Amino acid sequence: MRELKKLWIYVKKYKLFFFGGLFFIILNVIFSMIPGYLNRRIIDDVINGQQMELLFTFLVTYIAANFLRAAAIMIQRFFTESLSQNLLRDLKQDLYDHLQRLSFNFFNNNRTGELMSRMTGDMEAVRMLFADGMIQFTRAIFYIVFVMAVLIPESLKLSLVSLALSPLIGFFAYRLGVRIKPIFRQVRRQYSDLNSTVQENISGIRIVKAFHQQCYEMEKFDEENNNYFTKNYNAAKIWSKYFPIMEFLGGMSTVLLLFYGGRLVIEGEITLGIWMQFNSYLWMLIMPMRMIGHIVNMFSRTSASAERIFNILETEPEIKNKKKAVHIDRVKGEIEFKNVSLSYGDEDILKNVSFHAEPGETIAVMGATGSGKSSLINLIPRYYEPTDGQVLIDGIDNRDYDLRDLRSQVSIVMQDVFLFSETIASNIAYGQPGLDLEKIKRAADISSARNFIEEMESGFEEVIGERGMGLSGGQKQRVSIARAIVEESPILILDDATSAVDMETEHQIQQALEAMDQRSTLFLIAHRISSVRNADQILILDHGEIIERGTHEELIKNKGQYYTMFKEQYKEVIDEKEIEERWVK
Amino acid sequence: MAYNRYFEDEKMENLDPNNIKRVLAYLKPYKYRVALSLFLMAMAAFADLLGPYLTKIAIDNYILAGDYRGLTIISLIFMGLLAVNGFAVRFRVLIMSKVGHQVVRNIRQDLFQHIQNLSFSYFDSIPAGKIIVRVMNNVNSLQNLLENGLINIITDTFRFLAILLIMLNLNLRLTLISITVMPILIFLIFLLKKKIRIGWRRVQKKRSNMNAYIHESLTGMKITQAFVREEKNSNIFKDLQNDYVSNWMKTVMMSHGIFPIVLLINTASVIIMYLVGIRDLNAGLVTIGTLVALLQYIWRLWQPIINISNFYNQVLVANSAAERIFDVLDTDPDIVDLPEAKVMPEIDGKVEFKNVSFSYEEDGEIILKDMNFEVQPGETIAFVGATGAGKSTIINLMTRFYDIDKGDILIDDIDIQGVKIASLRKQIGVMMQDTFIFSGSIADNIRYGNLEATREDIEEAAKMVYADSFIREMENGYDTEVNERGSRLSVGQRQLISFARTILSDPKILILDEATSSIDTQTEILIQKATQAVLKGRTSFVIAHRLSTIRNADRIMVLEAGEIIETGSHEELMARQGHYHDLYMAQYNRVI
Ligand SMILES: Nc1ncnc2c1ncn2[C@@H]1O[C@H](COP(=O)(O)OP(=O)(O)OP(=O)(O)O)[C@@H](O)[C@H]1O
Ligand SMILES: Nc1ncnc2c1ncn2[C@@H]1O[C@H](COP(=O)(O)OP(=O)(O)OP(=O)(O)O)[C@@H](O)[C@H]1O
Ligand SMILES: [Mg+2]
Ligand SMILES: [Mg+2]
Repeated sequence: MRELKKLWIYVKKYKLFFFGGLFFIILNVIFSMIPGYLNRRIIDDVINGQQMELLFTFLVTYIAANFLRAAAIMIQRFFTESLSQNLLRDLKQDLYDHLQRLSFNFFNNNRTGELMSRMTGDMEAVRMLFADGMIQFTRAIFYIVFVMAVLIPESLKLSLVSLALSPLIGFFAYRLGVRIKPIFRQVRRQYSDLNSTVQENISGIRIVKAFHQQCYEMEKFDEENNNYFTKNYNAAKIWSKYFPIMEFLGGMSTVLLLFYGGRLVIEGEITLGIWMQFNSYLWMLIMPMRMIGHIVNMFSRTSASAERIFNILETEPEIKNKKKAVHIDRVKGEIEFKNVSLSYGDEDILKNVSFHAEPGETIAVMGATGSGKSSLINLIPRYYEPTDGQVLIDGIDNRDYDLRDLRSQVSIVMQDVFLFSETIASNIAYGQPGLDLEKIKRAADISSARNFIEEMESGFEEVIGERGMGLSGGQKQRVSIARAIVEESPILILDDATSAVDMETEHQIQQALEAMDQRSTLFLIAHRISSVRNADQILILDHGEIIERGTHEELIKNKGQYYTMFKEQYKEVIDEKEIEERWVK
Repeated sequence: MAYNRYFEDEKMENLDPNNIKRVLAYLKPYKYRVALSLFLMAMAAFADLLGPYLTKIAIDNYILAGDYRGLTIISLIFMGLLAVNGFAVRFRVLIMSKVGHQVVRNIRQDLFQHIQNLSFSYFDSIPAGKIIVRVMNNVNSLQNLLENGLINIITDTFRFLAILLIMLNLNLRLTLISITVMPILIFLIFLLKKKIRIGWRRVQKKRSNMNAYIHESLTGMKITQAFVREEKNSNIFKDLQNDYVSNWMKTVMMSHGIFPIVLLINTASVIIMYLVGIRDLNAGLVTIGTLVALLQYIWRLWQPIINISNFYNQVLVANSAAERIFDVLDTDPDIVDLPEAKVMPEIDGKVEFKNVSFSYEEDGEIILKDMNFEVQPGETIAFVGATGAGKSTIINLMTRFYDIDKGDILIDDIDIQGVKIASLRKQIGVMMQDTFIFSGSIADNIRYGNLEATREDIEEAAKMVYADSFIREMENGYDTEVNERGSRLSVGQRQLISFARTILSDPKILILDEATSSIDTQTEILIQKATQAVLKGRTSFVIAHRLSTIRNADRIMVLEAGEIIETGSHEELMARQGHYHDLYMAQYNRVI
């Protein structure tokens, strides 16, 4: 019910569709009663009563009523469909927009398939309620009201008799709702598990096939698929228990009327005519009673789904603007880490990291796998927030900036490359849709991507597959470098951006970057000495701590970790003596 | 390659007009239960129909006669009938829900299984979101038809025929005249049907587009946020939604049109009955009793038709879903076992490429040109070359992820085209350039290489790639749960885990495509030392850009634009002073 209240906010926007829909549903019900009435009149008055002159009026009314009803049906459908579609569109759009606001951590912790199921399957359940449920519900209510309005004045006693069982029906309907809702919750959860399983299988299908684990995957899938069946069947079991009871009780109203009403007639308390009239209207009472089960079922299903949708909509983004966010057009690019620590749970990822970068400087970060390099640079655009300490950009805590402004200042090449299934040009211009081709080409030049792109059949207009399918590893990386460069942001981050690029090309890229007239503050994560040696500062991370810092020359003189790395990487071409001569002296 | 993008409607190549029949064929194993449901349904309908009759008896025989006892008895009988009806309904619902969900499960299972066997090129060309929508949403769309639709159509048809028969019996002429309008109905529905069908097909495509976009948006969310592109994406999504909604509205309104049409035709039919009936009555051709009865029946006659037309709409929706399901099921994998394929015997390790040419698409750019090389069992071969030279492509061919256009690939002198794919891939361990981590525990991820592996085996493999220490540092060690694609691991850590996975699979031929590209050089050296033992005795291929990674290989093959331009050991190549030498020396010069 709480969910319905939340949905009401969405309904409110389409009041015309909603109330118009209600109106025409009722109109439809009214028109639908006319033909039955006319039929009786024709039989009674025209055929039995031989009042032929009435026939023409009856027939015209009959035709008119049905035409009007046909029109009412179409309008009613148009309103309810418009309502449900518009409402759903808004809800989906809100969910989509909200997801776009949620933080990186949210996406680390939630499975894509699971989120997708809320965007699709759960939405469908909400749609059903407004497209069909609303009609059924209104009809049921209207019938009851209408019938009561007609029958109570005729005989209060009989009316009460025919309603006698409704509290019982209400009770069972309530029980049904209480019992089936948790099952529907399970059904929805299982649906999303199944969806996740399929989603993950398809994303990882190449690994599945490489290890030839199709059988194992089938097993995993079968289990989820079977569970989904079982959960659905459980819901059906409950339904099949309550639904017939309600049907039975609905039918019992007829029996009560027959039995009790019959006695009243025999005793002369009411006339046979009134009794007959009750009988002929009775289906209008039984119908809603029978309907109630369906409606409760549908409500429970929808509210289980709506819960899941609102669950996400009500998840606050971990990272969001402060009340008075600082807007900025372009920062200079001065960056300072002040005693920054970061931990996930009780795992310390960064410990008390401090450093300072002047605008236009190049900062290289090196360190073993898992030492926290990516975590470090992820703090600059506030993808995550430090547990302790401050990240200052141009002297202002980056949490004080408007988030969008802040992120526009930073272009990043992430370590795991992601490209969209789009043309190469629009991939490069991802951050600036509609950018002119010359700029795109220039960026591609700098990232040494232009040649291979132009060799392709459609050049920059070549479409690539999901995640950059159809490009080699190094080609993907170069496109994503171009995507970052094209932004011309004051801060540029390259997180191991050339790991899949050969050394020659890497060298070219590096030179092109250095030759750019617009110098950004550059953060560079790399494992090869050749990539970092020209940096203004090299930071060596170890288990989240900066253990060495300085320029290439300083660090070699220092004879620490960097020096060991250097020796190892170049032991074939340069020996210790030479190093001594060149740098230490 | 023709990549289908999120906003492009899928082309469906395998449109089978018998979709629904094929869906119904899935009911075969459950035919007795379906028959039982039909029987129960008939029983319920009978009990339901008897009600008005009982009321009539009650009035005529007991109420008018003032017979309390009779009234009580008939009420009890009525109650009994309701109970019968209730039981029949209960079991029918139970049986048919079970059957319906079972069939849906089975179809989904078949579909999923089929998808497992489709080739790489299929997955290259279609967005994952569009495949998922078929397995999930489209299959679910069949549920209602299977659970209720079919049974209802059958019973309503029977009900219709029964009433028609009674009417014909009452008065042949009047009945026939009043149903003369029926062909108009059929004709109109036939006209609409085609449009509705095409409409639903389009709606399904739009939905699929939307799904593909949602999927890609979710997977690329970090990039979107990093590049502050939320607004643009939101607008794209809005457009997709509008496109979907407008198609939906068009189609759904057409399908809602069926009921009013039935209603109006029904009106015509009843009016005819009135007019002709009353004229006949006046002419004495028909008795009052018969006419009244006929008028009551014609009412009833239309109810099943209305029901059927409602269910017919369901059939049309189901049809558009079924089309998409069978479109996948009818897609043959490009890469299949030949009929006479043999099981690949235990591989010794000789690999031979003979004049191999390859391009990813027909008439597309040729990636490998006439490639020839031979590798002896136990050799370690390294491929180097600029990005895009075709290194990864070579290994894609060795494992038959793609089939070559020309030439032969022989392993132990057996053409790999002639052996069973499973037997081939099981013996080749590939670590692909794009690492993939499944959600689940780290141990499970490593175990993926060999499901029979024990915990010790797993830990040993992890130790060999120096992953053991960081895994142990995590809160639950090897049982730490990681998320999809390993989002809580560093990229290097992901690489190490998939490296361990490949080692665990204990392959006869080992292929490492940039296995350590994101690993720091020191760890890499340690790994190299540790894996020496694994490499010993088995043929292995190593692809790397860092020359230090490949220096120890028995032979290094230098690739350029799909051709091998140099081969030899490190020393030989250095002595030759060719391309490799230049690469190597460039590094030296750059540090100085
Ligand atoms: N699935 C595919 N469909 C179409 N073309 C492809 C596909 N995969 C790769 N290519 C193309 O084939 C060529 C060779 O790619 P390949 O992946 O073999 O390069 P590589 O040598 O491994 O490069 P890298 O070092 O960057 O990984 C590239 O030009 C690439 O664009
Ligand atoms: N979302 C997260 N939750 C928990 N732990 C995390 C998360 N992200 C990273 N870690 C852990 O933090 C540590 C540092 O990871 P990070 O990605 O910064 O390493 P890195 O230095 O970039 O390594 P690599 O060179 O492999 O990319 C790793 O041990 C990793 O497992
Ligand atoms: Mg990293
Ligand atoms: Mg490659």
